[in-house]
Amino acid sequence: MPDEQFEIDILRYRPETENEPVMQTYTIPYVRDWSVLDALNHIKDNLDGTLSYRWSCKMAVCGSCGMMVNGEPKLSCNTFLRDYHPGKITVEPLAHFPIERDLIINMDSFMEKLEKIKPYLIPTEEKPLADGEHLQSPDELMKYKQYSMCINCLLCYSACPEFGLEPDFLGPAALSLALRYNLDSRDNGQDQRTRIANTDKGVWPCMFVGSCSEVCPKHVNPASAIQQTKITSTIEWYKNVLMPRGSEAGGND
Amino acid sequence: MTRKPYVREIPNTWWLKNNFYKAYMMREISSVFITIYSVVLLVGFFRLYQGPEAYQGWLEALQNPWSIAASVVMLLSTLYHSISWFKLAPQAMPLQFGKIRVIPGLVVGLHYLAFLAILAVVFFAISL
Repeated sequence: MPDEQFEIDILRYRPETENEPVMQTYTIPYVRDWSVLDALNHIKDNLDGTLSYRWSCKMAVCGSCGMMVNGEPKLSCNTFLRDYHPGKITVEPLAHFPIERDLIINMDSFMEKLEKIKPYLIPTEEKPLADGEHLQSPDELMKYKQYSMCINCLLCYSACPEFGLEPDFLGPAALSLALRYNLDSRDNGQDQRTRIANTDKGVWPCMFVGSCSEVCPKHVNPASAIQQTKITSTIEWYKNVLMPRGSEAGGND
Repeated sequence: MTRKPYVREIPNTWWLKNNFYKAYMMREISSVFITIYSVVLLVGFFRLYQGPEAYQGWLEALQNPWSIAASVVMLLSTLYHSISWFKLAPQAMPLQFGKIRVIPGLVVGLHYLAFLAILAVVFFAISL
């Protein structure tokens, strides 16, 4: 039985020798079990050792291997050649991020956004260790659990056209994480996070395209997180305008 | 190590890339047609205020073939707009009462129910 072949086009970029990315075609054996990541590993091990890409767990939990497969943001470990065979695939680095080398993108801007939304519990008052743990019921956990499943794979940022057009937009993953903490019964930092979300680079660039939720491999539903945050932000704004709190200077923003 | 990050430009035709984006653009553009129809209705109210002849003129203008074609386009736009937003409504309002999570289908269903109820009221009012 003749060995079947499979063609992969990969967008290469070598900053030390090139000014622009270049497409390069590889022909690999077609193995029904293989994921795109298996194909990349085969290329690196046997055909071209210079190919650079990120990967780690091989099981869609680490979020390292995000890339564009035929124009769609996917995890390469979770995308299978058999779904594109017969045919060929085009692999490119995650959209909307600067390319460092080959399939590796620069995600510094995302790391800054994560820090901005204060991704930690801000309790009402510091509880001394002697008082023991925070107790949380399964219902309270259910409220925010979905939004805690994010693996920071950045597929949602690649899918979001608003982020593509406005790179300062906080974006789906950062805003989902903000909601995860706002909905946590142990947290009391909603005001601080709402102030950050309720800006023209916060939730408001979002036009509810919804493609972030379409591509999310962990079903976090960031679109839902952002719409919920829009509603609470708006209610907070009206509360501040109609009933300005004495502790805040004047209530004027 | 030489670093020279390459930034890819986003073309104005980004939304032609896949069906999901195209459907989104259609949803957004439907707002334009809804606005136009709202203006047509406002003109109708104004003509009504101006008297029976003016109102009759407005009704006749709406009955010529071009107006009917435009109305069909505006009706389809409005329906597409409403259906796509109804579908998205559960995402903006995930309801949970204690342990019970309201299924998205129920939220969408209630929207359609309200839509049909309002439709019934409007038809009843017009037929009076």
